[in-house]
Amino acid sequence: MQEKSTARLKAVIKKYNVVIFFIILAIAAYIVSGVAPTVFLQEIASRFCRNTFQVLALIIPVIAGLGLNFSIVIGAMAGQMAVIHTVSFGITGFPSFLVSVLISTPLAILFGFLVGKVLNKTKGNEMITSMILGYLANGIYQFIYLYLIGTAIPFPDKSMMNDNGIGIKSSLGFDGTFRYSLTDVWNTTLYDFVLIAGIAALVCVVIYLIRAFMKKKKSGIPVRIAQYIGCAVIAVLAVFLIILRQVSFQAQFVMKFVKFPLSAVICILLLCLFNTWIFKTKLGHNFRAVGMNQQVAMVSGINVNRTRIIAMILSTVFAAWGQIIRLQDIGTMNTYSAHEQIALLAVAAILVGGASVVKASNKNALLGIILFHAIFAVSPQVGTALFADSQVGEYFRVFLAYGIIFVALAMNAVQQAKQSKERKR
Amino acid sequence: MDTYLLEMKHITKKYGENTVLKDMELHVKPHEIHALLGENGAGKSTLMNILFGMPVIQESGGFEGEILWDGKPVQIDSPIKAMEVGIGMVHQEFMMIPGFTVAENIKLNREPLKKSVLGKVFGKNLSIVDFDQMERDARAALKQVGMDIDEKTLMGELPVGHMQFVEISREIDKKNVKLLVFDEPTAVLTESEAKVLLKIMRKLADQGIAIIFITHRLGEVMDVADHVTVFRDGELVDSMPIGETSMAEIAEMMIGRKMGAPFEKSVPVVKEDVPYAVELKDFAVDMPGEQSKGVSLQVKRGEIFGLAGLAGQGKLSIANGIMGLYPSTGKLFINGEEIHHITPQKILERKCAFVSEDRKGTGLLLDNSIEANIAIAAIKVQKKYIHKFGPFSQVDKRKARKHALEMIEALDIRCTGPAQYTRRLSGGNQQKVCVARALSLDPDILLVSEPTRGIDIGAKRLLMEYLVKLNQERGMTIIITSSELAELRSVCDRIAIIYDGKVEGILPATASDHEYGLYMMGLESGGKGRSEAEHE
Amino acid sequence: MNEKIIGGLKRFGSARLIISLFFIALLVITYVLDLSFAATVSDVLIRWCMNFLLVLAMVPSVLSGCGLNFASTLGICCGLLGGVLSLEFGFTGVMSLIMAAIFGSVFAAVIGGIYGKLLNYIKGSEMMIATYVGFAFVSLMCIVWVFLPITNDSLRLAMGGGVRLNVELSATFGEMLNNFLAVEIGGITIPVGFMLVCAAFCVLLRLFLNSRAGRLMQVAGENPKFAKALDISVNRNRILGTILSMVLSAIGILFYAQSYGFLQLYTAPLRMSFLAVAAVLIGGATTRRASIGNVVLGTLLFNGILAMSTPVANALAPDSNLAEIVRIIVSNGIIVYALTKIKREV
Repeated sequence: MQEKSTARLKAVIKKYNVVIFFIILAIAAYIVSGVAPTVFLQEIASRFCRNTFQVLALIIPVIAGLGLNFSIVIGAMAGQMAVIHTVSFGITGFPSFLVSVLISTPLAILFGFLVGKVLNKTKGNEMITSMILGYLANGIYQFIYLYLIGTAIPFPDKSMMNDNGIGIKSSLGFDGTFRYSLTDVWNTTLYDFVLIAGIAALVCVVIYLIRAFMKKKKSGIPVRIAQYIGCAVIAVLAVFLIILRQVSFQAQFVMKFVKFPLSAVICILLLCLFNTWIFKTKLGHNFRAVGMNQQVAMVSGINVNRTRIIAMILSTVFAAWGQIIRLQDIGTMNTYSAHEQIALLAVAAILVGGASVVKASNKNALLGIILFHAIFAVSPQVGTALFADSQVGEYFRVFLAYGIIFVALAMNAVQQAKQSKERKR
Repeated sequence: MDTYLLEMKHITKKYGENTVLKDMELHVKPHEIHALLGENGAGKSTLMNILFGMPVIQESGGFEGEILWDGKPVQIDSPIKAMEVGIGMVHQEFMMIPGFTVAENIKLNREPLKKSVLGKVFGKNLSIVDFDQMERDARAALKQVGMDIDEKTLMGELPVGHMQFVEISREIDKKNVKLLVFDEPTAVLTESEAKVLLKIMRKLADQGIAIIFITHRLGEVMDVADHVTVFRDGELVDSMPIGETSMAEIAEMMIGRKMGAPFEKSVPVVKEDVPYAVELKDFAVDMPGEQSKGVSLQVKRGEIFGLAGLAGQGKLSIANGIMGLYPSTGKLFINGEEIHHITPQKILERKCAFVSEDRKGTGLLLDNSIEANIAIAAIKVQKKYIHKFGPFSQVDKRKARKHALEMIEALDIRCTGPAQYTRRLSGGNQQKVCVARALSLDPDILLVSEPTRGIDIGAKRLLMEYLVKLNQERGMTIIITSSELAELRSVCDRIAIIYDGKVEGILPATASDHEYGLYMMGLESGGKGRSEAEHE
Repeated sequence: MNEKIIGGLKRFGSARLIISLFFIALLVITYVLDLSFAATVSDVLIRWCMNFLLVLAMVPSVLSGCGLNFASTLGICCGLLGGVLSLEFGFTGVMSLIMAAIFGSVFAAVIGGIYGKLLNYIKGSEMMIATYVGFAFVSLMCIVWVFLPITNDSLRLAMGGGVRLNVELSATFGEMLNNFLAVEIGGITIPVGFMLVCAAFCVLLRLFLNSRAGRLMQVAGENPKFAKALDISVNRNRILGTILSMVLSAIGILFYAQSYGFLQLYTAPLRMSFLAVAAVLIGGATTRRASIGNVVLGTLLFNGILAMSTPVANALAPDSNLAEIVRIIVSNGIIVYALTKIKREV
């Protein structure tokens, strides 16, 4: 019993080795950085609300066998296009959010369809194709918004254009128009949210423990110890959150004035639910079948190419919406570069959460975004603390993002090479 | 008189210039197990691809002839259509998703769905899959096949022998299925599993399903089939109820072939007092799909030696094993010298050359010129055709071209010149290039595998003549591996028949068709189509 | 006759045809609009030479079966490191370039060997992995640049340690090859010496490809099964091809830098491999085949378009970076096009 339990614990650790590694890295980075807990919390909270939607958009293509969808940058561009035009119409407040979503959706559907078509022609090389397609689309996007606007395409709002009347400005601010169009629908302060989150976490721990005790089949001692340690850590964190707001005047100050967009969190939850739901439907089942073996799926009568295109459309649409959610919260936009890092950061985040080229879930996305951005947020300070040079931290975090993607890709490729060797036998 | 369920009439199929099926007929009744026999390449799989409306057929220009189903003509232009009509297939390679459970595999793309509002509005794609119902259905289907497998197990965790039964369950779960095709279903099963499978086939046939049974195992055919149809070279040989024929007769039908005129040649100049050119002792080669399991034979110097046998019995692995392309155990002697740790280099250095059966893979650099293809082996092994400059070297193009031109002349390679890419050559000329490359090593022993597969008659004749000439004029020892028995018999001095990875017997070219038939089917050693080695 | 022309065009390929026409159109526009034609053509010629070796580096990689070398940034970083060290040790004049090339090649050979080993484990996914190996390596090198213990003031960052963002070369090997035997005809400067140096590298590569070792490498790259039957080690030859590619990239970036006048460090090399890949593809290479001819043509067309689109774009839409956009669209467009042409190996 005991041995079996130890083996199980080992299996769990092996399964989650990536996640465990990054948890340790995140904690170490946080300790070294010396960032105040409130600032740290605020950083993670805002990054979570802004980025998670797009990370969740990666899940469907992974399951459908298209790998990590680097072309979500194209979805992000669709979102930006929608935002630019919405703002130019002079729409403000929540309607501007709705209109942006409305405009971006058909665009994203079209782009997703086109990307899907190309990816169906490059089977086996989907990821590099989606990445290069992102770069290519970036060129076309720049061409349209730098040159065609004002020359071939009329544009109503002169204040958003360059002084010579050609092209959109490279930096746009949405204060008073599009900014907080979703956030302001329903938000609270971080100050209150932290309290609620802390209490909720405590309640969860208690329920979990009660259920563990009620269970007839008792698990072995090592697993139980691991359980208790886990519960204790979460409980301590929760208590910490609850009392955090009492700690200092500064903490209260920071947290009372930071908007915490519950509405964005609701959107994220809805997308999580959608992801769960879609894999219970016939369509989601087809995604899984196509992702695991196209040949078999085709022989059983599933339209493989069509299924893949639908997956790409869904992912692109979500990426577009995600970009809108992000931009309205940030309130400014670098017209020609806001989309560039989207895929890199989203892909790195979901991989940190334990996903791979062929496997991804909501859990991976949520966990990954918290861990990855915890490290990402503090790395300049870590650089300063360790090397007296914040630039090193900056370089390090870029290296981390590229490196994690490289490792994930390499692990998958080694596995694939092994499998194809075995299949030949 | 029963009416036929399926009639395929006057089916002709060409791939480009190559006719693979010629005026083929197939008539299947309900309640019948109809065995389809023929060597590999006889056209069975093409006929089945037509029956299933596989995309390959449409993409390569369709076919001629008509298909009647229940007496009415049908157009089967996609696998989906075939399924709708009621045709099911139990594949040779498992069409299963390892990451899915047994139940999910059985119900793949036919999942039971829950009724829901969304589903009604947006079509079945957004309906929720009813996993409980799926498992119940799967269990019922498995029960019908008589298998006690947990339907929640992942397919990838199932033993190989069980997968076949899951496939069958899937096919019979399709409620409308009237015809089931079994493509070599027993190839991967143990004997007891095979027995169970044959029993299930009988049971299904008794329930009214027609079964097309493709196999190489005559014993199974005699045990279970009602009717047998034999193909050869894309043509129908004969079709008759099983009661009217015998195993030996079927075997003869499968391999018998009009013999070309034998080549004129003098009695081989076999040197008896020197060591054997090639000697194998208990030689086993692990070549997937073509394992040999302990071959012992001796090839004398100056002999043309044939290796025959049905596909999958291991004849191809012997030459590949000798050349060091697949791992082998046992002993290999070349000219009396034992070769340890066989590598291609060691064998090539001992003046053995090989013409592979995998012409476009192992045999040719398709995107390179004829001269490059011919010269490369000698460049690598004997460092011929190069200028040396101290540690540096340059390929001597003039010498290589001269040699290429000589070979083009000698073998009558039809090309625009020695610089033409081999991809653009016809199959026969490609094969000649392969032979030319082997000869550029100036070998004493030449191993040739499937020299005439997929090439036209003129080139066939010329190649075989040339091999005989090499043997007669240069005293070259030649070992030919071929599925075409007639061809072997026209040139070889002795022919070893490989069955089940072992030498079933060695016959002179003059032995009778009947005798060859029995050996090819493995009937001579008293086995009933199977031998002990397979059960391990 | 007609058939011959059509056949010839077909072999030339529609993508290449469009790009060639674009190139000619730009040339004509430059001439017609009188956009300092001579200077532009001189610029085209210089760019042809300065990018040449970076593109040539694709050939051994493709021919050894490793596909397009998206990771040539590794070699580029090694070349930059060689350049920095050469200056740090105080070499000047021709020696500074030669020593930079030697240092760079040694690093590139070592890194290429390690990277080639890695590629042997991941056969079939080379391109995607190569891209991210390149990205990760560039960001790793960023950290290396910061910590490189440099003593030479002309290299050091004004404040604290580390190398400068751009290292000026005017005092060492800047424009050395540009001016070597340069001839001026009708206002057009022809960098004859630079062209000869590039040609010399072509001849060297050609000699290698025609040697026994080179032939065997190409066999291993084209058909691994065939190679196995002749006992040619596929893995070793892939490593050989990778090393050659990396060394050429290392020397290539030094050529590039001497023309440009600066060693661009830190994130500058990030996407350089894409440009080299695009150029060789435009020249008619595929992921499986590439020739020196492809390099010559592709580098001229691609860099010519980039060089000429700047003045043309400026004439059409003043103070814009239309040229940059043309670069993005042409380079990535041709790569996507090439990816759709890969036949899936079953």
